[in-house]
Amino acid sequence: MNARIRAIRYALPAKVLTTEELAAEFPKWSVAKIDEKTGIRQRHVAAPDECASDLGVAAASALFESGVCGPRSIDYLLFCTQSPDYFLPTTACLLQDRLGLPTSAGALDFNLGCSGYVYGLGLAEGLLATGQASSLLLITADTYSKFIHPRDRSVRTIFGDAAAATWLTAASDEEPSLGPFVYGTDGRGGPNLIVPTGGMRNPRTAETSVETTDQSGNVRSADNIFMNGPEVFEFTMDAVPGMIRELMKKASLSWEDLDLVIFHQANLYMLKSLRQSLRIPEEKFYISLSRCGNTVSSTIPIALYEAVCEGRVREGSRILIAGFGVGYSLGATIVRWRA
Amino acid sequence: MDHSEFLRALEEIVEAPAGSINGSETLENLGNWDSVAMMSLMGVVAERSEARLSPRRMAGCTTVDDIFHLIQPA
Repeated sequence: MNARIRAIRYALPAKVLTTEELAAEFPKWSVAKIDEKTGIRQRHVAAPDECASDLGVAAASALFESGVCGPRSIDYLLFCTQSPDYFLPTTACLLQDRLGLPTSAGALDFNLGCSGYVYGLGLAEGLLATGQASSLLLITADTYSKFIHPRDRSVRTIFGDAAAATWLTAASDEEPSLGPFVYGTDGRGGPNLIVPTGGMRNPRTAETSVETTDQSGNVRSADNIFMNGPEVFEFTMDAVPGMIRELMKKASLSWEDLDLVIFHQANLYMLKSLRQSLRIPEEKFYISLSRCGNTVSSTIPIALYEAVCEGRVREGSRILIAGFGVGYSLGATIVRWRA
Repeated sequence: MDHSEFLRALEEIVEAPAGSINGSETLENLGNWDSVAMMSLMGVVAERSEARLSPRRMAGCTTVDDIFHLIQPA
């Protein structure tokens, strides 16, 4: 047995933050400059009382409402987030109830960011191939906006909130629909993309909420998300090309054998640099940033869904997907589209 | 990547008029020198030369020419 992606849907919060609004707030950055560097025209921002679970419910509901599957058919839920509703209980347990999944279903959260979708597919493949599950829901959801200081343009221009729901079932395809998988981890990069407080290591206090301004004029406190963009860029340019080459070798594939390449939609500048470094044909390199920005673990399923809607992914298409970022954590795999 | 090409690339990145940067400028006083400009410069250097710019080494630089010296062969 192996796993097959059957359908994807996604959900965005109603509130939109446009590049024009950001340019008005940060006069040193023009609309053209934000556009050129990030490729993002707008981001969606969760309401104060809107959590990752709410976005997850919206994405899964869209999937159920499409008629492809129903909640009672799901026997396993994987929920990927870095902004859970609570420390405990597990958000996936709450989602079981809210979505009306059977109480016999397994459910767990896992904490990964930009690599989360690939890891989720890897976990799904293991669960479905070994018969532990037969119909699995993978939900990716994050509300990074809640970590962002409003005067930190380095992250505010890039990140958007979203959730995606992917339904997978067990299949007995001669050529597996997922895999091979390649993973990577380098925890030395932890401090370069971090929310320093709020966990057990550094509880939030009045002291941690004191704001400071960095050399680029960005304001944040230790309670906010911090991203060292140049360090993350260096890691990405060092680590991702090697991972992709390893995957291509493992899968015995060349660019000619692939129909589409979908990388984590970090920002336009990083994507262009990676495409050039790996010499990926431009027509096979999918970019889907402008409408919702970097939605962390949801960028790949959103892009995959959009590519299907645009007809760029069809029955039998072979797609390379790769996620990379916070952790540092990275993963890549090949998807054979047979929805 | 020679000195002149480096300076012209930097001018484009920080949106300075062509020919306005000579290398002696301090980064602190270079308008629009921020983390995005650093990433852009890393990308341009990687694209147009064999050299690689590391953020840690750039952090120790005071002037534009300090960065240029980082990409010179040892």
